[in-house]
Amino acid sequence: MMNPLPLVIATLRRNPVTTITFIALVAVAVGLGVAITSQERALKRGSAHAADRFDLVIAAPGSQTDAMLKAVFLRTGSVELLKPEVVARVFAEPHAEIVAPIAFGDSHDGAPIVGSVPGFVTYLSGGKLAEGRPFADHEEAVVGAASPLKIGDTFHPTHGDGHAELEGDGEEHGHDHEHGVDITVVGRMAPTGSPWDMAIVVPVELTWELHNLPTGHPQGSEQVGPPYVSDRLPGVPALVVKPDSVAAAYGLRNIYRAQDSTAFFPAEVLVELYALLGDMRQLMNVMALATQTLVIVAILVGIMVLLRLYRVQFSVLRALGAPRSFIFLTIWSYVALIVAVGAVAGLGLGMGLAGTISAAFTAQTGIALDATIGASEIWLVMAIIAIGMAVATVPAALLYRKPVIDALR
Amino acid sequence: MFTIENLVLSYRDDGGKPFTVLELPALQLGRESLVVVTGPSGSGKSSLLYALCGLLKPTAGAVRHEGQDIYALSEARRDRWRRETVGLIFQDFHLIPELSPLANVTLATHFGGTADRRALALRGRALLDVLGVPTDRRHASALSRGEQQRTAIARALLFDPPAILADEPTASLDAEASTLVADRLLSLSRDEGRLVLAVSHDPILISRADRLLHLERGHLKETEPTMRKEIPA
Repeated sequence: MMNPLPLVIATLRRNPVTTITFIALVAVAVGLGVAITSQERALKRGSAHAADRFDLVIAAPGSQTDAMLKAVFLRTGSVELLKPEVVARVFAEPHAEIVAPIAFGDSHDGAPIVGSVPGFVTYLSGGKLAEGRPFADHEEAVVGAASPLKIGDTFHPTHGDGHAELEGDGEEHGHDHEHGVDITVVGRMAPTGSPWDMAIVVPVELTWELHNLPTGHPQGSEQVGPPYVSDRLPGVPALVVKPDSVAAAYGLRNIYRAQDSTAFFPAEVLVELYALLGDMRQLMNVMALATQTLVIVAILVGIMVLLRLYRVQFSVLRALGAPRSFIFLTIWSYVALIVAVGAVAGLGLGMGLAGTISAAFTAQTGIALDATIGASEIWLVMAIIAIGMAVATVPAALLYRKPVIDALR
Repeated sequence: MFTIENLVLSYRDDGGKPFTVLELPALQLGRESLVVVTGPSGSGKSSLLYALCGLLKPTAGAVRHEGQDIYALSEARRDRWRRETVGLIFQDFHLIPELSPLANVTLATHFGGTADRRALALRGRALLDVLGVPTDRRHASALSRGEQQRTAIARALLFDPPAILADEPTASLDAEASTLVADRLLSLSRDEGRLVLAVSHDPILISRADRLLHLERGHLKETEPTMRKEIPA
């Protein structure tokens, strides 16, 4: 049995720094590719999961992506309001099991305060709160799973989206001011894997009240949640609707795709976004593959130079009776081993990289990302190993036929 | 055991003109003799040595071993023949520095077609012991130069070949180490009955030769050894 391994290992150990550099180059190139594909998949899965419970969104006419970013991902910004009469009509729909207004305007410690209804909080939390109970009074709040607030804590909401502080000069942004109201935390939602995990949800009536809007109930009423009095409803940025059936979902979507409103399934909008991202991913994949190919070619050139130094060694082996095939196998194994070890190390590196990026992304946005190694990453690594094995034949074929004598004299 | 018939080795120079480095009408080399080849550089000494071990195909003529023209063999069979028949020793030892002395000696057992690797490993260790090479070193590079050349001799002897060919085996060694190596080469021919052919200018080695071959511009002049020894019939 031909066994080039002892010799391959000895050759690898002759220039340890070079060997480790070669392996590291392959690992970094493969790691970047693995991180890109697994991160992209995690982003898709995470955002889809975050939108799971947002069956149908009805918003003012305009960009559906904008409306989805507001309602599902709580990216507040300029707000087009849905007209009060449309809001009243949706609340009156018999096939809408839950109608949840989403109202912004305040924040606490950088966390958005969202006005909505108790039924939606329970629904988002999976039918049951993790702790405590839904809000039943204007000055009560339910927090997301990741909120630092505890049940029983009280706080003053601040007007504004809370991002003004990040610009460093809160003083000059005079529109951020505290409302003179104490809110007590009474419940905590189960994790949703969405930005809602960092949010504070209060009765929409409070949001309206703080901004001097009608509260949907008769003057002076402290009621929380539906039913609302139609002519006391203000406009809202968006309504999240849970229809009672698939048919109702399509029916409602058709009805509210009209002159003064737009209606959409967030899942649908996400699919359109993914299609766009898909093109980006194609581009990134091509770039990653180009990088990997360049790295392998560069390493190949380096190895060719390095192997020239080993010519005497290979000539001696031939003189000692080694067949050409043994020399071929030794050089081939040497190159293939560097690429294979680098590719497997790259898989680990990519996993670590994707995990780190995912964790940072989750911490910043609240969208739960779980980057995993899937079939496409395994395929990538196997493809790199296969390419490595194929290109390894080049130096092997070039060097194994070199005349023995020249190097010995 | 080796017979050379009308051997011609020629190259083409840079201008494409052929020039002859070696021309030997006839040469017989038998067992139980220490043959030393001398001559100025470029006289064809190394070419003769590599032609004998099957690494340098002659332009004309034949190199026969026990009647077999070795260049009529396929390359794979010639590799195998070389491994079994010829042990090579080099001026610069050419050990694999990262491997242990024993791993260097048994390296050729990984070339394929070796049946009993265990027995050869035992033989390799015994050879190193006989030659006085410490076997506890992890790397051959930790050995002294003399020890490295003796490791190379053990490597050449692993398959118990009937012929040992050495290219300046003592040129990189000091006098003490040279004497050890020269005595060993002499013993390999006289006590173990091998053909030992060495290209050398070392008086220590020349003084032990049974036969001196002097090459001058590719032509052979056989000279009497300085100290003639008794050669058993």
